[in-house]
Amino acid sequence: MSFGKRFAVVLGIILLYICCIAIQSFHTVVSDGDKYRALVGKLNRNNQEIPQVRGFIFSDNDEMLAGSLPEYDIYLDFRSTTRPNEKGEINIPADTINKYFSPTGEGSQTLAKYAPQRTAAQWSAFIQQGYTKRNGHLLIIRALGYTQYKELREMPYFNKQRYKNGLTRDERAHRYRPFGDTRMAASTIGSVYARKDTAGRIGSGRGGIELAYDSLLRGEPGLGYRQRIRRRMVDVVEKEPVNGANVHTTLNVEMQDILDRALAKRILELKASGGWAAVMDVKTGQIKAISNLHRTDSIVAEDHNHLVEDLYDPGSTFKTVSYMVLLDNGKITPETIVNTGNTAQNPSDWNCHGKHIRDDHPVGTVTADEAIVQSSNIGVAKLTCQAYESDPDAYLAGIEKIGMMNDLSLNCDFPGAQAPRKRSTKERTWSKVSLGQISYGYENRIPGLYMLNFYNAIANGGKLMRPYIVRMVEKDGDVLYERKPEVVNKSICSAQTLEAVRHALRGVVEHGTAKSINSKRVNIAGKTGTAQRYHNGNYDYSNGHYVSFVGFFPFEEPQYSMIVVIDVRPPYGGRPGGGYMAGPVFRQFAEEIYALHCEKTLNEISPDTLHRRFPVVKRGPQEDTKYLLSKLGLDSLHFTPSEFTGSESVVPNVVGMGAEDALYALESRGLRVTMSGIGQVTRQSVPAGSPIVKGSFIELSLKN
Amino acid sequence: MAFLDKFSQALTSDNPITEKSPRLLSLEFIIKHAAKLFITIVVAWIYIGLRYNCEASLYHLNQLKEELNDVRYTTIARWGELTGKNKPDIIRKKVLQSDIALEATDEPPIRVK
Repeated sequence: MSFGKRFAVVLGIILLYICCIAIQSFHTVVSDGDKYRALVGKLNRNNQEIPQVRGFIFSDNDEMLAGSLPEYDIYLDFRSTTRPNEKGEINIPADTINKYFSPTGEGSQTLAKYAPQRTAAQWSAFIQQGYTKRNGHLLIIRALGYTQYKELREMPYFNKQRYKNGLTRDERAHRYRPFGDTRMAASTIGSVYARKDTAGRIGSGRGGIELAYDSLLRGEPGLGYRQRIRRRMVDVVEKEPVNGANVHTTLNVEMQDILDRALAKRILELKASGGWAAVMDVKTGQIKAISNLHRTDSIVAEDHNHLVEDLYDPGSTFKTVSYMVLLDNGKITPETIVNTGNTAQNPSDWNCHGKHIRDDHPVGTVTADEAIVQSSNIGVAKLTCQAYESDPDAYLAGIEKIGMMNDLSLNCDFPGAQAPRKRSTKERTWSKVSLGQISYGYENRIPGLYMLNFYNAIANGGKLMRPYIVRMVEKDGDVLYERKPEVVNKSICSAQTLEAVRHALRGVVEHGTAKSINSKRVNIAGKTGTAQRYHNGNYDYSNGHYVSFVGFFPFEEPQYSMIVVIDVRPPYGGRPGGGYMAGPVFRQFAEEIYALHCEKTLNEISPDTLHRRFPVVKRGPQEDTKYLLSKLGLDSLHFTPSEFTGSESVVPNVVGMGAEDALYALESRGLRVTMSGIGQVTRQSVPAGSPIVKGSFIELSLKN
Repeated sequence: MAFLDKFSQALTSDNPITEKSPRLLSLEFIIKHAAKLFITIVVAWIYIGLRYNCEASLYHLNQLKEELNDVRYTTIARWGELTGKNKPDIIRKKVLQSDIALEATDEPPIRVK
């Protein structure tokens, strides 16, 4: 055959081969195209959302209050093996299940550890049953945390590859709160949706700060696709996710813990329905702690944010407002006399245009100051009505001037926050009794935080601040938003009026309705409140009461203001009263925080002139001791430097030192110290002056 | 066969194209297009190498991201556990339950200097 013919034959074969390929390709695209497109879709998933990380919420000293972690639901797929084993089977072998999930098998033991709702034997039966039914999606553990999931994957059976153990998981973002979901300002911090919200987003804020700052916390998801590279599925990022910003609050963990503990204890003691409390920094208006607790049997847990979302009658705590208005407009002085007509010998009430106003206890004829101290409804109502009956608008204008009833737009930090309901004489519901009722705390509906803000202004020299709970929003160190203290009203009243009001508030605690909480450690000033609960269209004793105490401490130089409100229901075991019901929470908090967060100076220590005792001076640094004693007026002393203290090569004499000083003196020389007892060092096991052997032990005995 | 004869004649006859165009894979063809072939091979080699490196880098990057996520989540989990265990009430209860003779202070500290 000639070359040309051979060439033609070869060319023909090649063309035939090409035609076969073309026909096969056409066949594949037309008839099997859908199948392979689906397969490509599994291998290369385009436009897959890459989840972002939601921002953190921190306390005032950067402790984590809320953060995001993945959470897993774990499933077993008994049909899952995609690769046949040596025998050609594609199910998990029965002997594997029997080995690991017998009642004593490692798999059953592991499940019993991570999902203790079943014992190992029960897990064994459960798994065996699922295997028998060839269950393809058997839920075994719900809501497993990240570190626990990692530990689970190290355990026998669960450490196998997926096609050998059938393990699958559903991952979701979980909002993790280190202090739990039932206390520590949980309702104020808020929560996130575990499932999609109305806008179809997962993990968006559901309440509290999480909702208020959701647009900053949320971030933006990224875009990418999965591609098989070198036999592994790899995420290829087309658009990087943008993580959320971090929110820094003003909440203090220590204060919050103390407040929760004190409030919960009192709610349980009173068998109250619930209670709420908040602490504010006087100078700045920062909310340092806030609790909204609800009781169900013996469980006390966070409820919705009553202090900002609920409107209620403030009761006697509003008398301070009336007193301030009366004083500031010159209608009365603290010494103005008012006859309540209600004495122990002749108890009676006061008929104010058909409304009978009563006092809880008879006070007789008192000064205006004493009417506040003893919380006389009749006294305050009479003074107010005498001054403003002909012109109630002037009284309301006086309240307006204080500024406490103005809407502060707190819903930027507290979603759902309500503003106080201002009253007007033009309202349909205004009547002749309204003036008297308002003066001692009814017919005015105010959120608790606004009442606290008013008392904070009294503590702050008359400056009304804007309360806030978020101080900064930052992302990767860049500050996006920062809030500074804001003065809403520079002066709520004159200095003279303010002084008179402060005096009255101190009197409430010294000898008034809150004398039961008068503390020897810290001077408290404030006002009690007891308001009937408005329910089903009326006030009635049987509806229950809101008992409250609001004030500030220390009285001399106020640092913190605080409100406590407790919702008590009958039977009470006595008359309800803010002083003895809500007051103890205030005192407990004030005393603990006073010791932890306040400080005294040497000038504040009063010299004890009756007893000239010399203070016990422990062995220690000489210069510091000389300075301290000179400040105490005890500087005419002769100091003897101790031998064996200065030299670094011998064991020093630490007898007479406190534990801390002795520990420092010995450990800085390379010795290892063990101690027993408390107080000053009375004995050291290695005598002073002995050569030091670095790393050797020395035992100290301490005694008071 | 007649068709084949005509076809082969057409291929090998005095056809300006067949006379001037050397046959494929002949030495002459290779020598004439040596430079182009060399460049093609080099470009193909570079392409394959770069693609392999890209895939390897993507794979490595993905592994690093997984490691980073693991470290991040582990850090957050440990930080959260530590924060929760340091809750003042928990420490207070542990001190009360233990033999440590510590009491909460009643008085605030006094600033000396």
